[in-house]
Amino acid sequence: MTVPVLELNNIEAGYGRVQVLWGINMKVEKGSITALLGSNGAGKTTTLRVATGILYPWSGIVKFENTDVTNLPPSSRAEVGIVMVPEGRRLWPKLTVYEHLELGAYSKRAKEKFHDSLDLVYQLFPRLKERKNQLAGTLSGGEQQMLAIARSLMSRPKVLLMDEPSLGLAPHLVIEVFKVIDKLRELGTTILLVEQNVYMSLQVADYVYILENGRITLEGISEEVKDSEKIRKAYLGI
Amino acid sequence: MIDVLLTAIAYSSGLALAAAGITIIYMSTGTFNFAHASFTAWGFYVVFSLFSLMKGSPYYYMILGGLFGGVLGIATYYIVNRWLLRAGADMVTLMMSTLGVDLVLFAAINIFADYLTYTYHFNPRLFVLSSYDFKLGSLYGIPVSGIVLVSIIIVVIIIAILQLFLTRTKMGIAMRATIENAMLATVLGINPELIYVLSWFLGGFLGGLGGAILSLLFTGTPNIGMLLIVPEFAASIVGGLYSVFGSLLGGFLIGISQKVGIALLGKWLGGWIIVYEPLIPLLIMAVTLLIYPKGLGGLPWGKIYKRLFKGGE
Ligand SMILES: Nc1ncnc2c1ncn2[C@@H]1O[C@H](COP(=O)(O)OP(=O)(O)OP(=O)(O)O)[C@@H](O)[C@H]1O
Ligand SMILES: [Mg+2]
Repeated sequence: MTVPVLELNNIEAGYGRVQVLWGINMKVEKGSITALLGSNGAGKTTTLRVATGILYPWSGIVKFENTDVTNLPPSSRAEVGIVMVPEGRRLWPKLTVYEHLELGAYSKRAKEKFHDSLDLVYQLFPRLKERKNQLAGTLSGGEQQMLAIARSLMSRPKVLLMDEPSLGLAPHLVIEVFKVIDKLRELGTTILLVEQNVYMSLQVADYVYILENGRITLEGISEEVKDSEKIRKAYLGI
Repeated sequence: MIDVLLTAIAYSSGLALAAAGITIIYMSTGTFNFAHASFTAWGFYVVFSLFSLMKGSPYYYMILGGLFGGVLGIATYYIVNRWLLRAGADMVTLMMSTLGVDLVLFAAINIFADYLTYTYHFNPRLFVLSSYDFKLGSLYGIPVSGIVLVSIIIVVIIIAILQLFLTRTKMGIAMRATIENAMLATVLGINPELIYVLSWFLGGFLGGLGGAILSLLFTGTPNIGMLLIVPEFAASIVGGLYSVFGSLLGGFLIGISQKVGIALLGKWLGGWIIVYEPLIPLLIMAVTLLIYPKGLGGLPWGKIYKRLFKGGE
């Protein structure tokens, strides 16, 4: 086995005195798409917060390419390549599309590859090129999500953490987003995908974790998980 | 009246810069910097002491007044503000802590004034630099001081530099991003602490530079900060607190109405009114916010610009 890009070992975490995560163990292998699925309030976003360093765990270890990064602040983690597309397509409404892309490539590592990344991003999302001088706050919902993804790609992620990228989008845009995710996989991007859309996620993911009430209750390669009794009943309704 | 107007313009320029400094610090760190007028006062003292020691022209030392303000800003950040931000202190705590910084700076000015008095036999407790200003010529028989023109040129240059910095440099864009959403900027690798230091430096620089300009207009005393704190804050608040451009406008609105207003009132009502001059900025602030609750920076300037220069929409 190769070394996982990202690894969470026995993570316990919460807010104030309320514990949200109970002994989470996860691995994200290089070049794969790993899905973390679960319903509202299961602790998916919290898991990503621990991975990016916005939230420090009570106990447990976060490893990136086999080095312990548990105590590294978020800005340094972005620098090494742990990049997040936050929930709810968070952008800076008063910055232009191009300024978002520039800031995506803020770290030194990403800055060197700025032009390559820009070509790639414009190729993936031609609309962003047309609208590069528009303020992000005036983009449509779908365009905003594309920009959020584009910005993260500018950071040259070694592992891309996507928090519910399909949330709140019209069905045809949801398909669009998953197409992009599929393309990214072809380009060799390592992705940790957090979703409530279990059906679509199972199509793109290689490996799946099911999170319930802060605990991983099921994991496996997606074909197996797809066929498991539990998933068919609880999430797919078949 | 022309002389009043000329003074008012130069005064407004200094005020506008200082107010823009307050706004920058507030926008990025959420700290309402009560020590700002002391940065301004130090701008006075840097120009005064260097000019007294090395002669030449007070103008030579203006930029140093600004830089010293910037250094005071950085020191305030590292010694006080940073720790409170890290601990997640609320706005009131942040604000109160700068009141402490203000007291320290005020005391330091007095110590420095004593030092200048005993070591060099200057008169740092009452100095007038305006007599060392150059004359541009005269307007309807009224002599025009150099500071009127220079102050405006400085404001224009600062606006241009700030505009370029904020929209054309990566650091400036990162600063705007941090102001809009610091958490988001952090997960993308932007170190917010760097942005905070930079804001304190810029804010302090503008405060000090404002003071350096005002030192050519007003009599310098260790208490000068107390006279300036109210109009500086009023200008920043009138500007909407979330717009550097707005606070520059606010500086001109407050400065001109204060100086012209008190001259007119003095003429109409008699000299007794002069002592109430500090009330004018507060009145203007209250009235402006009643009409435009978001302040001048919140007005739709894009549309106004189109109306004015492109003949409607
Ligand atoms: N900042 C916070 N402060 C306190 N509690 C929080 C905070 N964020 C989340 N929680 C709580 O932690 C639990 C897990 O939340 P989390 O956001 O991780 O869920 P999620 O799986 O991402 O849900 P969703 O699908 O709705 O985004 C919830 O009970 C939530 O109320
Ligand atoms: Mg969530």
